Amino acid sequence: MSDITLYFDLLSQPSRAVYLFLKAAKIPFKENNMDLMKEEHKKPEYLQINPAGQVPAVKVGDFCLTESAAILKYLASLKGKKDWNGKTVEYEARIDQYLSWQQSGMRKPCIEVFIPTLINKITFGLFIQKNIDPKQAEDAKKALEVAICQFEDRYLKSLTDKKTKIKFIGGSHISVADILAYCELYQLSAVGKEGFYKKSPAVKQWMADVEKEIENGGGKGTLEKANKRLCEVKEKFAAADGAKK
Amino acid sequence: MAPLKFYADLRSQPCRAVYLFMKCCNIPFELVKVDLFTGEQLQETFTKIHSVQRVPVIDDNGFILGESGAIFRYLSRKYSVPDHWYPKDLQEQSKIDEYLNWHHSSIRQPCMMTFRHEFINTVRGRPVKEEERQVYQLQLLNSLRHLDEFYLKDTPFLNRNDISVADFQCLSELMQLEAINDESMYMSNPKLGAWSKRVKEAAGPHLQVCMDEGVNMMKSVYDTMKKSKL
Repeated sequence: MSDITLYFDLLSQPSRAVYLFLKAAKIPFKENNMDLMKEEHKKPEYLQINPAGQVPAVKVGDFCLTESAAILKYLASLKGKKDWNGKTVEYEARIDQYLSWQQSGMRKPCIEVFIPTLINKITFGLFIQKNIDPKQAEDAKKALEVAICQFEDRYLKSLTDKKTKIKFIGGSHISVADILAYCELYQLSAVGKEGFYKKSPAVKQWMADVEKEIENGGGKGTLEKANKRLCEVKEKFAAADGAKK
Repeated sequence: MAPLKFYADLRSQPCRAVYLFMKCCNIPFELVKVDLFTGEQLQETFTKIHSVQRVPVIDDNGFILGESGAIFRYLSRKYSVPDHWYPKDLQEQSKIDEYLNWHHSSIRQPCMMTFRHEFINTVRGRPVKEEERQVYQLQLLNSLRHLDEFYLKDTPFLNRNDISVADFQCLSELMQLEAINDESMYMSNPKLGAWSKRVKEAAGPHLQVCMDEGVNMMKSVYDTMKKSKL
């Protein structure tokens, strides 16, 4: 019986990241699958685990931890998977740099494209359908393009030589930062915006390499299971998108 | 080995946090000023060093690192600083990581937006949009309540009994409000007021440098503009 309990909703990018990391790193855990659409994260029993009322969270024995970047690093160290936090001092720093940058540098620009595009067509939980503002959409598009360029330039190039590409943010070994970045970008596919990450050959290749590592570690079908809830949203969006044309 | 280069502007909150940490740990560095107010970080000379065009950045004998969170951790490991700054114990370390992650969207974002909206509009002689200001202030107040009830629930410092990099990160952000005379937002809370006093004491004389070369420079510009409108 595993000592780790993960509280998560696979609709949430950081939840998916911790879930996929545990699967890919072959770390057993108990699943406490929550439904954000039913506001289960606001219930008193969950607020005991995470008073901020957000997912993901983990409980290891009596120890509770929130915030995906902290959870990922903690679990990797706890379960002897330190390579996922960086094999050298420099790569460890590079991974920390990504984890610090990611909130404003990647997550925010991705969400600012994802949510308005989604609710332009459908109501999504507490987000009520709202027609997209063309100016905001254009600004969000430019900001995300810049973010992805910065990501490629800063994180998919060698530490010492900007002309040399590296396989993962962690160098030759996949890292917790790669999983987090992958989940944030993949969310865009639910609203037909995968073009953002498929445009650059280097980013497209990196996404494919991350997927391969996840399937190698977690087994065939790991990604399909993890992305199931997102696929349901994708189908609803596509249906509404088709109907409104 | 030469001391590391520290590219910074002490008007920037994360720059102050790293500055205080390095000073308190006696980590040798050469401060290279980057003037954010003239957009120096956007110019080619700086962009060549760090394409993300943000400070703080360190250049440790050719190894370039951005993001204050990454800089704290890298320097803690390299210089074997006193353990309480970023403990080696896994659970204790993860609780600091937890704060540093939460900080970005919950303290930095609303505090920065509260400051920017008031400061930039006032300095440029534009009206402050009350509705917009209230949105940011409400977000910040919710976060300050969480600081009180969770991160300072049972401990004198954030998530622990000793000061850590998390405390410098948090205070450096909140002190920006002094530049727009809004420090009562957190100082009026008894727990936060007492915590900030403890952190300021730990910073010692280095705090005054952050005030003189950071907060007070912006405050004098703001106060002058406010008086000229009366």
